[in-house]
Amino acid sequence: MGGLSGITSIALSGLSVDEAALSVTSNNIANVNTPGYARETVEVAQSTPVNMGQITYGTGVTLQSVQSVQDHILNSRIADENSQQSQSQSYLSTMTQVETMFNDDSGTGLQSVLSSFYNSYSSLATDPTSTSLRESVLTAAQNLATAFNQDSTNLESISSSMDQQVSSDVSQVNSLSSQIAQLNTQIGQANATDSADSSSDTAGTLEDQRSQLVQTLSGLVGAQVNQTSNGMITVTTSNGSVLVAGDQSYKLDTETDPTTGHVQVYSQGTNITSSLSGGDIGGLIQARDQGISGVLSQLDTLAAGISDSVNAQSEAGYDMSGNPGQDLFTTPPEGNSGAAAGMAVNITDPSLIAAASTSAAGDGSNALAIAKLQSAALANGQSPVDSYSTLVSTLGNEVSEATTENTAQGLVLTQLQQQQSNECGVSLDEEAVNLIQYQQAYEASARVISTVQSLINTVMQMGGGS
Amino acid sequence: MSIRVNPNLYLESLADLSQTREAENTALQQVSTGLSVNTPSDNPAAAAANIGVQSELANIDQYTSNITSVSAQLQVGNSTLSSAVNLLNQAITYGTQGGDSNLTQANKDTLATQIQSIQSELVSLANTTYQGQYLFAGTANVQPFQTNADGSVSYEGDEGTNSAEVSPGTEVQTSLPGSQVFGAGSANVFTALTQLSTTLQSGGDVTTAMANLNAALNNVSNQQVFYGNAVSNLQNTQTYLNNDKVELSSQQNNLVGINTDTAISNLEQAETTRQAVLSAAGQIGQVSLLNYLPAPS
Repeated sequence: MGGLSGITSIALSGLSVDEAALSVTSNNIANVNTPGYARETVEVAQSTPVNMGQITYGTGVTLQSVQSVQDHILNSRIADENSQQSQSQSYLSTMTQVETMFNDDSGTGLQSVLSSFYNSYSSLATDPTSTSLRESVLTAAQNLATAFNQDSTNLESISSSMDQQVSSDVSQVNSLSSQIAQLNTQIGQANATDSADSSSDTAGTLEDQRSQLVQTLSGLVGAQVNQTSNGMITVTTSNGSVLVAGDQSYKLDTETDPTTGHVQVYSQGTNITSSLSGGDIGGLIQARDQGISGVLSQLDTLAAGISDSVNAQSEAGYDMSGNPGQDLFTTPPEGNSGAAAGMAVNITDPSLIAAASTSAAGDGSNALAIAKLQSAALANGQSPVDSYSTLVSTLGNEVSEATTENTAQGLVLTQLQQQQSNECGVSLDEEAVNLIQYQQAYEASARVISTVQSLINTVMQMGGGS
Repeated sequence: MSIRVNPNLYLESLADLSQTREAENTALQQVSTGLSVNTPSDNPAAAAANIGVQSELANIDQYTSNITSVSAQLQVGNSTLSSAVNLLNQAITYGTQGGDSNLTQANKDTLATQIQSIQSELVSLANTTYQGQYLFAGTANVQPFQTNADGSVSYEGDEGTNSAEVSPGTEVQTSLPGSQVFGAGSANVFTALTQLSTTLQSGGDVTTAMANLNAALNNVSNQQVFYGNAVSNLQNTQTYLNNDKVELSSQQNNLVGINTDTAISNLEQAETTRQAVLSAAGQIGQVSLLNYLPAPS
């Protein structure tokens, strides 16, 4: 196509493409700090030329598409790492709280009450008829029982605060799932529209939003994302329970287990609690059902072991009136579960302490025998202090491993995010260059139009005379 | 075209900043607590070993307190038996005087009375208590020596003995039963004294009574040796415990402590690093190409 009007329309196509490019640049600059925003670029191409006889004329420029710079593989790796890091983070922050309960250097552990308890019997052996020493034994026994009770109560209360957190996380997951399903629907529709109108990138924008939601979701629970037709995605939990399939979302439910009192997570009526991993929920469940529960069961074993061995030795002795000795502690429950929580001193009368191994009131050899239980192996094969230090080292190792893991995951995540930022982040320098480039092109096209106008004027003057 | 670099440096510098802050916190905590292990996870093995050391230290404190109370008890026993030995020596002096054939019966009666008063003093010594506990009753909780209507003295205690823990795996016997201390059969202190006083009153020959009394004295002196030895052994044990405590404390310091110089130099290093990262972060992103573009006219 030739002629002056043809030139104008070519210049016009330049103007409109530059305008679109400037608009994309402007949008990039505006979103420089928007979380999850991937920079957009314009794809332009030469318009279809026309052939006039032997000669081919260009017809200007066409905007092919506006594309959001996305790396789906990177996104899914980030979601994955984010999920693992959230899990170790929430596990770690819980177990760190637990750890402070067993910090013997700052006086919170069981070592001092354990030592005081056995040593109160050692004192009693030096003066078995002393009422004040007998009172001290009862006090030390009470302190020991209270320490076990409190540790157990504290662990339970951390567990129940985690139950609340699990419930609130689950409702957040549900709300995210339904938003993702909605976006899936919109993206499906937008993809249809976009293919009709090349300059539109509604789908890209929606995908940005959706990938941001998936990111948040993966911080809550380990999520697997699969692309399906029409740009939609399927989201499942790490154990394969479906959260989102196309335009449908599937709710997770929570229910309190009547025996343990702990919140369980259900998907479509199936309890998936123990198979969930990743994210905050994964970490909470790991800390609650493995970490805390492990510590609690070690405490129960220790409390029951101490109660059983001291009771057996007490029964072998005699009280101050020469009667057979009674149990110092209440009998621990069968199977030890709840032993730490229920540990209590069985007697209140100090003269009932079985310090004697004969019916002679002034004999202290049974008190000595009980004092020496301190270094005797319990049912688990370790002395009370050794059992306790095993508990502390196990806990310490778990926390220290989780810390290392968490730090490493944090580094990997930061690196992945940087990589994503390298590819998809908005650079103001780059946008400034684009701004100048498109501005100059726009000015040039505008100059073409004014040139054509002056040519037309020249032509007009040729016709009109004057 | 070269690889596009991360236009957003804030993310990176935030990670660096939080890392240096953590290092600074750790260093600060070490300075303020003097400990390198502040939570079990800082060094699980050391934390666990430290629990063992702490419990050994608590036991040493207990042994020390046992030694203090047992020593006091043994010392009272020792000095009680010293007094008993003195009284018995006095009785032997009176008995020797009573053996003089020139003495009148009235003189012998006076000596017999003095010996009887020595006997009653000895009974009260044999019933000595320490903090409400009879020292010579064995493991019975009763007054061990009773003077009967006929003037004889009977032993109401038992033959049991008590022991106390004074160092890891070591127990010491804390008492001897009264029957052993004050003798049995013909060597019984009270029988010998009664025999002497009745012999004097009847004007008989004191030779046998004196022989028995000497045997009783020998027995008491021998028993006193147990108390003296026990007290000095306990002093040795205490010295051993004191050394052990020093050793355990230094072991504890090696496990979980940190020396102040190291802690402070760690802190300074952490602070320097943090300042460097902070000042670098302050420089980031202050300019972009936009700053150099002319304002649109």
